[in-house]
Amino acid sequence: MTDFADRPTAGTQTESPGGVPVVEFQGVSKTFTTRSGESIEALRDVDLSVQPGELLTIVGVSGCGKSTLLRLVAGLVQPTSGRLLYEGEERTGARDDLGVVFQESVLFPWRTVLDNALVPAVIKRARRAEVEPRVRQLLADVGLSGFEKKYPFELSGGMKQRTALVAALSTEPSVLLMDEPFGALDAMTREQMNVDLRRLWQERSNTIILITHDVAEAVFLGTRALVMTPRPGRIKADMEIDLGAERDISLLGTAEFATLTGKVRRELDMN
Amino acid sequence: MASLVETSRTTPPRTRDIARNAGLFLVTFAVFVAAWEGFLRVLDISAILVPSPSSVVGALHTSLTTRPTGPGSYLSGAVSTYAAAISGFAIASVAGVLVAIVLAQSLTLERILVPYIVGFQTLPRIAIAPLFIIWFGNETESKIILATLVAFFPVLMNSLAGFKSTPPERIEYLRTLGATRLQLFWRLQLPGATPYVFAGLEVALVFAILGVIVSEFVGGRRGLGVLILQSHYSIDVAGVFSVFVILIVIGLTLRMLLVGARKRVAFWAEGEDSAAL
Repeated sequence: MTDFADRPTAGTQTESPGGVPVVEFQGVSKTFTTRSGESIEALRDVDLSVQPGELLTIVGVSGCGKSTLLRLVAGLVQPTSGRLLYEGEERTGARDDLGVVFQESVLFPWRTVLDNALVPAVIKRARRAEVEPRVRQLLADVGLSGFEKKYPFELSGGMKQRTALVAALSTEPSVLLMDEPFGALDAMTREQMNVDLRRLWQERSNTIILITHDVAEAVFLGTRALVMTPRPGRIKADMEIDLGAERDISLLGTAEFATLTGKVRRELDMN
Repeated sequence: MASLVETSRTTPPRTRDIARNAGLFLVTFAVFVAAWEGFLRVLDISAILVPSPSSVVGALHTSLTTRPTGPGSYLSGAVSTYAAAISGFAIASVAGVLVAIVLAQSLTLERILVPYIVGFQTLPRIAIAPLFIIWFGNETESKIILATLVAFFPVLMNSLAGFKSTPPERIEYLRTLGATRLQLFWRLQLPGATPYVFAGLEVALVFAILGVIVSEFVGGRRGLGVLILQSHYSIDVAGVFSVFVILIVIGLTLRMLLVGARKRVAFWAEGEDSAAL
């Protein structure tokens, strides 16, 4: 399936101050074959290393392969060529030590908020008594205390995504993958979610890879932002976002923020 | 945190709703009965063709008082009919769900078997009733078998649709958590399919009763279908209608039990069908 015989493996590893990358892409390409036999090149020759504790945002128009990139990390699809390393090692199969938050809430309507947040623990057959206190604390951290016994149909969109976030964090994953997690929310709720996510990340220093088509979101959240171009998906620009660690909503109105978003937009346009 | 004040949906005061619906029902029912009685009198329609509500109540009263129990009574007829209907319904429900589970696991199996299932379904199954009387006799067995056969397909087809309706995002989500196939089934597919299963059960209940009545028409010795025929032969239309009343009352009761069960089990899928009794 994978063919990397002609690819030199030594020397491609990027030396970085953060130590061994949590996830590393080495010349990864992915081509899908549709039912009609057409092949679609979703990703071409992607090199990328994600450092521990990084909040990496990936921004691109829809259909640029950014979701494929995330699905590769999650082990849901395998690269057509190139290598994917986790903490310096190659591993195959679906990965279960990751947290994922998708755009559409994947909450189960027949489970309460608490029980939904415990789904990963249930699937991994963890002992409820061990996980539940942590999950309750996490629910409190995202402002959901008092809502433990509510069902998803009783929640707003923002609360549903907060529950999904708690579920993703409940098993203390090494990497948190977020695929347009706030894409279905209204603008005001999304800003609040961004502020809260930033705060959570700072408190817990998880590694997060977050995909978005919203430039402001990518810049506001990211310690580093990647710009992707569509068909085939390629990494066009890789920018450090030097906006400091403390970020609140007022940052959105500053000149620095506007400069950075402008830069990202220009990268997105020229292709 | 500001976002704490996000509004959450509250459930409406249910008891008031129920009281209002019941009141509405009683009023419309009274109007309906009065209109029925009135039309018959004004248009002078023969009681042999269409009985008046009062004569139906009269027939019901006579039957229940002159012969409350024993052979030929409404009670023994109802017991015979509904014992067969509920047995057939139960067998069809279990079998329908189990076959749906098997078919949902394999696309190949589904592709092979579904044409046969659909083909058999296009045959009006009550047309087989006379054969069953020959094969299994004119006792309870024939009734149960026909009821099962008629009720099986709605359960199977609805359950199959339910098992296949699992949103792919949810499957993918559980897969990223490392879920096994069995976990996917128990934690996701099965609970997600319950509203569909119940939709199938509601149809199956009606079908099972239909199957038993038809079986009794064709060659039963006991049951409400037999009582209908007997009244029919003696041109006792009010008597026929009085059996209808029994059928409606018991049918509605069973249906309400089923709806009650659905509201407990699949409470999260409410809203589409809350107007039904």
